[in-house]
Amino acid sequence: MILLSRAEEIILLAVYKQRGNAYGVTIREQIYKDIRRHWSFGVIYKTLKKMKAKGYVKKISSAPVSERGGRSKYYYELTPEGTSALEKIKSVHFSLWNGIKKLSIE
Amino acid sequence: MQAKKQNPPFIPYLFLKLLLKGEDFYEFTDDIDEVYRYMIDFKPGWRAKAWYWFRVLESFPGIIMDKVYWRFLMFRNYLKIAVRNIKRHKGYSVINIAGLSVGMAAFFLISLYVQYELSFDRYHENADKIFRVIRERGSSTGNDRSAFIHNALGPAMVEDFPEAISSARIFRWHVGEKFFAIGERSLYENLYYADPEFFEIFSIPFISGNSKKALTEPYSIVMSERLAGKHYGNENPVGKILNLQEGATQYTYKITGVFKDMPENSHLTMDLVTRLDKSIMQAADSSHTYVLLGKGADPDNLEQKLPALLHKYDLRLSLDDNVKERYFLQPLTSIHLHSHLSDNTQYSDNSDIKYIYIYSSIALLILVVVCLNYWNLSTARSFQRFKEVGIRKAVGANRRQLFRQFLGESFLATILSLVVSIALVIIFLPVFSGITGSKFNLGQLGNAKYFLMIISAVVFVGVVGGGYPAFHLSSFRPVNILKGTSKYNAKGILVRNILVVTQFSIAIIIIISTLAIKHQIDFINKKDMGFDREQILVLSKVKYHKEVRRNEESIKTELKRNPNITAVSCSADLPNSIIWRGNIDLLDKNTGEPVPFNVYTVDHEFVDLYGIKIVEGRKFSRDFHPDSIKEVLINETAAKVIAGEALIGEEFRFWGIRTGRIVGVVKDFHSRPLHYPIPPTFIALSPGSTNYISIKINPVDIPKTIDYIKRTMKKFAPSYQFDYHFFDEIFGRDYQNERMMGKIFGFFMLLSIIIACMGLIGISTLSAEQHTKEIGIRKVLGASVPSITGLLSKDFAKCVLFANIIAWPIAYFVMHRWLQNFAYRVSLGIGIFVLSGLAVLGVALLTVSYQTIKAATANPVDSLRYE
Repeated sequence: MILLSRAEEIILLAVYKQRGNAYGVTIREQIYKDIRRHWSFGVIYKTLKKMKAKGYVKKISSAPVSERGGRSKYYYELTPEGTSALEKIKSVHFSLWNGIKKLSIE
Repeated sequence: MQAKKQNPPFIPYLFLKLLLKGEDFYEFTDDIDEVYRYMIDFKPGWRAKAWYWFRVLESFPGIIMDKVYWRFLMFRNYLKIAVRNIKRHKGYSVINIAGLSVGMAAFFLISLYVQYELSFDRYHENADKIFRVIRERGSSTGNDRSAFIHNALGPAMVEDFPEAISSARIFRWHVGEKFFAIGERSLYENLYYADPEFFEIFSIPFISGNSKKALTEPYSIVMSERLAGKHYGNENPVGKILNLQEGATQYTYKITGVFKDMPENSHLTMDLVTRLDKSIMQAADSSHTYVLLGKGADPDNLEQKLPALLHKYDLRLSLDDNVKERYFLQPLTSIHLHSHLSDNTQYSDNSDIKYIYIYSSIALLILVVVCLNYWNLSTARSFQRFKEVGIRKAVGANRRQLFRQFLGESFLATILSLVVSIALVIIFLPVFSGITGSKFNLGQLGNAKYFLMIISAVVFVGVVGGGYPAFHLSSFRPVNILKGTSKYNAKGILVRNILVVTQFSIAIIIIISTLAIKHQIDFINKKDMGFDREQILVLSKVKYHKEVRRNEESIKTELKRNPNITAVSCSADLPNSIIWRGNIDLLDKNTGEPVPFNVYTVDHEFVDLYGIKIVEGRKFSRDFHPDSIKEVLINETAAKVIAGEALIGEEFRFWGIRTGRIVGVVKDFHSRPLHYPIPPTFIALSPGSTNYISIKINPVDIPKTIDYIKRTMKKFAPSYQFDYHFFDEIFGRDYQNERMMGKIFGFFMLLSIIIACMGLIGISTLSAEQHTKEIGIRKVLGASVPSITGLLSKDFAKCVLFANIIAWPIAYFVMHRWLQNFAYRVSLGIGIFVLSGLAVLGVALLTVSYQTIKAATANPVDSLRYE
């Protein structure tokens, strides 16, 4: 399995943490909380779209929302493939950092 | 107020609207809108607006990358499908791509030629500001245009007109008329004389020496790189001496510069240029004049001021008031294609824009035929793609996407063909430049203009050839397709038939044109010109050759000693080409104006050697008496024009100094190419004005005879560079353009038939496939093979017959116009029309017969079994 890219990893984690309420705005907020960077909506949607095609996330449209002029709100949800991809990257991180306590250049 | 404040800023919203579609758009706007509305309650409006702006602007890179990503993904899929399609239908693809490649190759070759012809003299920096002064003399029998004008006109223009910056005159001695020597060796080159300004006006870069000062000193001479390399090798010739022997005096010229070889696409190609001096200016109109105008100067305005200038300095060349003289400024860039000067009144062999038009339109027609072919084949084949279209549509592809996909496929085919066609161009270029006699090369392929043209040709073929099929394919309704109901419709057949008709009309037009050209060429070949063309050898370049002149009689006697040489004649002109020589005081009996005569100056043998017949009076007398030098012969046309019962014996004056007495009338002979009517001509006895030596030989052991002639010339004129041609070859040059056109048309004819037939193969295959079941049923019901074959061929035959109806009038019109170029021409009989029509019909039926017979002989069991 191809490893997740850093952007994909960050967004997937945000979707996971906001589960049940993961849509554009909350995902962006979660990313800011996690990495202290404001990401553009464009990049977030773009990456989500790609991951949807890869099968890591599902896009769910809600019942019509009146504030949105009767349109649906789009939520994202992890799929089992998405979850296992996250687990995989976690173990990769773990083995990458394994045995390193403090980085220093002698 | 409140509501307005709450609305997000319009401009970024519009940006998003333009960039995103459907769900993506609503997701994006609704999400940021939510935050925006939240912010507007707590923060000042401008901050919320700024926030909105920033979110949109910072998203652009992401949105664009997203679009590129998905486009690319789709594109990869289209490409894959397209390549698979090409691979799966190999036969069809080969026909398609071969047709496109051949047509495009033809188009590229022709456009290379056209571009080459159009590029003449354009490389000069001042190309659009340089003009050649042209003089037109009008008379009762037509106009005569010449580049020889009064030598003083150029300098006078510069003197009087501020807009004329500078002028340069040039003059040429033909090879052999003057010899420069480097030590013992002679230089056999055309020798040009030019004013020092010449190298300022024209952009001819110097390799060594100063172009501005090269010709300022008398007796300075400059040469081309080619010539310098030939005679001096790697040495720099600047400062070296060239000797010119003229009679007893020897002149020494100093080489002051070497210039880069002038490109092939120049109307002048000079190798040796020296300073114009008084020796050249003895005659008033011995040179050509080029004028450089200032920026923004109006040549038309200047042209109008010329008559006054001519009057002021008395520079008119014709003192006869009956002759109207007009002067023109001819742009440098139009010399090659628009000159229309009389023969031998300029230093270049020019082409004619007429041919450029003809060839360009043919090239375009070929391209159109090719497009139609592609169009036709892919439309006819479209039912094979029905299922794909249906599925694509069913899973959500919209019409625009499908259109793009199919258009893309046609571009893929076009680009593949482009590669093949460029290979074809490279292969056929030598052959083609041989036919056209132009020395163009592939260097032009790198030319930005040409590159642009290739691109536009590709786009043209891609869009015109692929546009309709893409439109057609993408228009199918998925429901019908997937149910399998729409396979074939009447509109499709109509379009297909129109295409076949158009293609064949073009093919028939080209065939008729080719045949008409061929008829005219045959006519020229067979036409009795009034003089013999066979077994005559012509030695040229003897003009003003002192040794030849001095020993003319000895050469003639010595040559005639050879049993295989039956006659020798010295003359100023050859019977097929005469130069206009001015007025004679013989008057036209109808108009009372002087008759513009063509004058031959010949020796006694000329009339006999060329087999020109005497219809009245007698030949030149051989007995010498004081009057024999006066004897002239006139042709029938002249006899008709000039008055007088007692034609024979009439005396008149010509050239102001000579008297002529008519002793006989010769039968009209074509002293000008068949394009022109036979002019009034007289033949004067004038030994010693020899330009050509004509030698009639027996057709036995010709190489030996030639060798004998060569040795004889060596004996009497050691410095003469032996240069001979057969007269029929010289004669043939007059019709070079027609012959070239015949060849190119022949080639196009073949091409258009091949392409049209390729299209037919494809269509007939598909048509047979579509009728499989019908044929099966007919056979079961007892139809015979011939009747089915006939049924299937009938449609195509109808198309071809209809194509004839369209093509005939067009071809007649075009070829009728073309034949107007000739004063003597064939008439367009119905024969060639019927012949080409039948030929095309035959070829077309033969092409479809393979498929139709195959379909007709197939076992009905096979065709009816499936389903």
